[in-house]
Amino acid sequence: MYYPAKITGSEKLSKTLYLKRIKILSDGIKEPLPFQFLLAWVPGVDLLPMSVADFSNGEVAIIVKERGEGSRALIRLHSGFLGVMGFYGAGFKPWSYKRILFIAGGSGIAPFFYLARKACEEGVSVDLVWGVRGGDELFNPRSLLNTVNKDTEIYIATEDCSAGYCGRASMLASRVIHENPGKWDLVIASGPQGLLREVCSLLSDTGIELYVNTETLVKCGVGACGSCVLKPHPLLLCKHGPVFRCRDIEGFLKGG
Amino acid sequence: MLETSIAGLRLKHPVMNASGILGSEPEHLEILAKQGFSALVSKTITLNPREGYPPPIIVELRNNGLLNAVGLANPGARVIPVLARKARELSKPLILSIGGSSVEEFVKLAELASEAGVDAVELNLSCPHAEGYGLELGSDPMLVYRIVKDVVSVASLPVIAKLGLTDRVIESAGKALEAGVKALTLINTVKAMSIDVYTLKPVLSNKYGGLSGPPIHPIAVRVVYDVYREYRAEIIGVGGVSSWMDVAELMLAGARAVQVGTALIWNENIVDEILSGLHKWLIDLGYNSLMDLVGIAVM
Ligand SMILES: Cc1cc2nc3c(=O)[nH]c(=O)nc-3n(C[C@H](O)[C@H](O)[C@H](O)COP(=O)(O)O)c2cc1C
Ligand code: FES
Repeated sequence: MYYPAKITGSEKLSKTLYLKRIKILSDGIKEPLPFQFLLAWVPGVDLLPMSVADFSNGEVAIIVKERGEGSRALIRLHSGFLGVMGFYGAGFKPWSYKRILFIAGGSGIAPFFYLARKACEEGVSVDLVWGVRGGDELFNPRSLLNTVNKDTEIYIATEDCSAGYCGRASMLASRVIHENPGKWDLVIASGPQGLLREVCSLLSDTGIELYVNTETLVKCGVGACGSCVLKPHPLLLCKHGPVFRCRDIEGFLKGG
Repeated sequence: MLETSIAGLRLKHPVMNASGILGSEPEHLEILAKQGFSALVSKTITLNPREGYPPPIIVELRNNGLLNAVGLANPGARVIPVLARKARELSKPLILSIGGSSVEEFVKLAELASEAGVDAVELNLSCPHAEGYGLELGSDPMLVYRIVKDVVSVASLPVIAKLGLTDRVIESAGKALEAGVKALTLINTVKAMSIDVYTLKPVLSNKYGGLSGPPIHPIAVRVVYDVYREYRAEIIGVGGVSSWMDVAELMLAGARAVQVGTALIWNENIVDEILSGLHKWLIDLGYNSLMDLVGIAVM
């Protein structure tokens, strides 16, 4: 569905990441599921797929990473109007698991916050491994949206070795999993395709269920244009995803 | 009970997908085949690849309609044999939708379709938002005649013309039949617009788009009725079908088959629901073949 919307909050979180709060100017919008996403329309500039980082009372939070012209325009939009389409995707409700390890790369952390809020309501625990390239991309996940539970463990990795573990998120995740056998029964990886591929192969022999939050070209969000198809699989990110089990999209992960 | 035939194709039931909701890649055909359509229709394919318009290309409207200006994005003619192979693998008849900005482009595409062994071609003479590629063609009855005539002369497969809502749609339909099409697909989306009332701008990047879904269904019924009354032609009815009753209406107006587009977005079980509804309808009415009901509302 298309909704007019207004930016109600804007915050620089780190060198490359920004938080935007968006009020939907329409009544009766249904609460999204974790991992559902929206398309943010900056008039005359671009339409950007964004994970829901939080939602309450018709207000959505998103985390925007500065990359191209479109994201820069959205970041610059401090109090103006924009369009929001959504919420799209099947979402993911992993409530049959006991303890989830969320492995995020860069801005792939965005859906963690909303998952954490919902998981807490459902009595499921979520821990976080967050990897970034440079330490200047980091912010404190605990203080961001107040969705992170006290019992949540947070592990940080930087590739420039300026903070936390020195190396990639997948490596750190592999280490903490081996140090804590039996602690997690579900892994969800979210971020660049390289990270997803590494998580799926590195952790394949742990016996833990492995899911990934995929990214690809999304032009419509409703399952019509076909741009988001995860070739060679007959699966649409915007309709069947964006979260898939590793083994269901092996061909796609290899291809990217 | 639900068998039908259209343009020489014998189909298990009358429900196909409408061109353009998926259908430009082999993976898309797999997704569509799972929904149970009796034949698959491709996205409109042009000779050269087309990027289409930048997003927004689709808007879900408050009135249950959908507005789109995709701009005929497709991978170009090289995908034709790939789609044909996939449809054979899926054991589904394939109707290849083709589009062009000249008579020559249509002819070339029809030749490629014949070579690839697809089951029929549907000429898109009705896209309301791709300049030079659609509605302008279909609203000029003489141009319709020329395109169809030339395509029919080279194509060794059944040719269907898809026409949209214009003031001269009945005339264009007549010319298409005269030039040798086996069937008509009626209608395409209806030219429309949506404006955001806070940013004060049209939402689609192309500003104009095509309206589809429930709001256009009564228009489709009217056009099918008028064309059937005039020519008793073979018609595929399309426009806003979201339940078996919508299909029933189009068939009573003269359609021997129907296509479903927009409703796929909101309902993955649409085909099964339509088929069981039609089945029950026939029993309620005491008929044993759907074909006996085609056009019987037309006087
Ligand atoms: C997103 C979208 C893309 C479409 N693309 C095409 C196309 O490539 N060729 C075509 O002939 N019709 C195209 N159509 C029109 C449909 O085939 C159909 O005629 C129209 O949507 C009305 O049917 P519906 O209300 O069931 O969707 C498209 C429609 C939509 C919604
Ligand atoms: S983005 Fe258009 S089908 Fe998924």
